Amino acid sequence: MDNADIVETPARRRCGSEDVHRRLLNESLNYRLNRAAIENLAFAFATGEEQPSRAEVVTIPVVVHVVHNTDEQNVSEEQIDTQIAVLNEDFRAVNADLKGVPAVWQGLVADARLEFRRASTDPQGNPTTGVTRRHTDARSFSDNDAVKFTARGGADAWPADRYLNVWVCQLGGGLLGYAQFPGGPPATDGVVITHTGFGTTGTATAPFNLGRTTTHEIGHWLNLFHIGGDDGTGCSGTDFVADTPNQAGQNFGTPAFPSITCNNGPDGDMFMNYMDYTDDAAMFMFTHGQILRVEACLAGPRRNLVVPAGSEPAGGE
Amino acid sequence: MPEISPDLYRRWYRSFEEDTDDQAVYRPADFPFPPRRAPRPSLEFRPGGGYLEYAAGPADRADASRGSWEPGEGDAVRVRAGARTRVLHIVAHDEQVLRIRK
Repeated sequence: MDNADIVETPARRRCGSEDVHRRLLNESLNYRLNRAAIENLAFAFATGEEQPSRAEVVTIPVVVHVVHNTDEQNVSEEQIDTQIAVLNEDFRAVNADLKGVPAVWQGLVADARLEFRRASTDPQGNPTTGVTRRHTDARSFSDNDAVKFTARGGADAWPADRYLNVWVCQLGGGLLGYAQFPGGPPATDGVVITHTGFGTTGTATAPFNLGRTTTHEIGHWLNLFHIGGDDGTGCSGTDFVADTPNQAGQNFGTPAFPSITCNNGPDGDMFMNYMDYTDDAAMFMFTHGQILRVEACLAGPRRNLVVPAGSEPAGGE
Repeated sequence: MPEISPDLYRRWYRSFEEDTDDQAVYRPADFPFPPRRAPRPSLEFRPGGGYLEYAAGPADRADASRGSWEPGEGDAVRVRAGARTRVLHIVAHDEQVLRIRK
């Protein structure tokens, strides 16, 4: 479905900026339409109208673009592998700290049945380590997506329908990472993580040295919202997930259970959820409701990306 | 063409930790901020009168409100971001720090 054509073609005078305007308008329209379709599917899964159909665990091929200005930022393959190992625990609910989930929510812990592996074939069909590296003159990157373009000092995305693109760089402004929801432009699809919040070794620095920033950002990439509902500290926002408690804002640091907001006692905020803002050591679960949204995402916008676990990851074939 | 000091032409990130009772402190992107999951609020003056304010967005990147700035009396700069206009009193600034009266 593409309603981009409803933008009228200028009848007469044209200039370059009109072309730019038209492109942005089209992208914006496409994005809105994509988002509506994605949320409709998520709703169908949430209500049981649609059921997750896959039986097997699936693997997502990952390419890590390391964009470095200093040697320190040029993170090692070991640091990359520690990050992927964390993802393979967190998205399979086999992380050791799951035992910290309060008893009242133990039954909500969900296995996403998703695994991640460095891509072994590049977009041209050649063998790859699943890691690209480039030196950049940029001392840091902001959230303006420059890191995703070679021409802007970063590294171009690999095709987003075949790879999860992860950019690792120095982010400015103290930002740990950011993501793009499904339905956006392929050239910027993926997650960006600052190198000190990536993996569990090398330059990873406490309290963000357990790899959870990447788990959180991939949560967004799989269409999960913050459990605080993205309405500041209000009580009317929602993450569109039924089994996460309504809570006010995001939590920080390492809160003590229970932490009550929005009359959500006696159990309070689910601050140990990966989609809160707590420290790495304080977040360790997804819920069944969240994973239903992930299932909808994998059945919809990201359906081309998954390959059965155990088979050769996609990319180039 | 309105003018303010060229030092101001950049994106400034709120450095809450350095705020005083009467001053909000902002720093450039490369300042060694303590890392944080939420993007820090930030503002950006552009040559020619462009102005942006950034607030936390749902995918951990900032959402920008676009607008304009124009110089006011003394230390005042009148800024508009989206539908909101306010007057900033710039107490002090150089390339490394921007202090705005609270």
